[in-house]
Amino acid sequence: MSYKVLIVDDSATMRKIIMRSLRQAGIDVGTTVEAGDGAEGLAALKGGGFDLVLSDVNMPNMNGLDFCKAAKAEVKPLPPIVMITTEGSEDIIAQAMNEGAQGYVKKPFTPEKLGESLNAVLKK
Amino acid sequence: MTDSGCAAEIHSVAKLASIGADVLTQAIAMTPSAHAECSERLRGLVREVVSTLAFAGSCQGQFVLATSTDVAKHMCATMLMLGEDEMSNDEIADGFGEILNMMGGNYKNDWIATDGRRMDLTVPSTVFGHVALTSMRNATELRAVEFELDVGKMMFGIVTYG
Repeated sequence: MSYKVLIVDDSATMRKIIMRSLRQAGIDVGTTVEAGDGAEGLAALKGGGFDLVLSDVNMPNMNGLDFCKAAKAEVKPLPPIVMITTEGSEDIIAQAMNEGAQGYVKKPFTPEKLGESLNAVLKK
Repeated sequence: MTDSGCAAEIHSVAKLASIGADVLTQAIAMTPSAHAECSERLRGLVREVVSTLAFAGSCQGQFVLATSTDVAKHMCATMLMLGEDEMSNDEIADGFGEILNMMGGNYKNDWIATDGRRMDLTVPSTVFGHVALTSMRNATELRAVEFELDVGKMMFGIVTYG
């Protein structure tokens, strides 16, 4: 199955690294859509059809936690959201999980680590 | 705890070096061959590419990453697996800022492990050209380390105010 993936990160560099890492990890990516902040991500997500969302936490305009909260309230069905961020505090992770995130990957990451985390979420 | 100034001790230069080297190794596969303290050099910072990442919370200040354009270009091209001639200035600024974002984030994760500490990060900002960051002159504490990489030198530092 090819996955349609939404990548939400304010860094274009990081979005490219995530896309490359997905392929290196052997995730069958059919389509990727990029968003530069939570607001753009939410608009894209409302378009529907996504199998997976990867989101940063620390972004301008709408951060990753607010993005999760809005997505949980406004998007049905909600695809799995995995946070990819440097924010590794238990508090931030707990907030993200409470707001609908299903996984967490800390930057910097290897393709192997990313694949491991995403496969666990996609198999649920 | 206050929202201005620094109510908690910031990490040592050795810890700064360890965090910076870990990110360079993991994110770009560039392990520094050596490092040295260069804290006072932050007061009169003149580098070609400078990224800053401000923070507030138990401490108020900013992280700083600085190097030459050539080194920044090489690092970002390596990180993106692109040729150096394919890199635009926007891509270098974004990539260099992301390296600082990872360093600052990892510093934060380690630093807030002590109970009661809070650090809220902003997003990184990168400028080109010979830049004297005058705000450094008002700093209360400056800690910086200069890494020796295959392609040149790069400085990673933290500055607190108040």
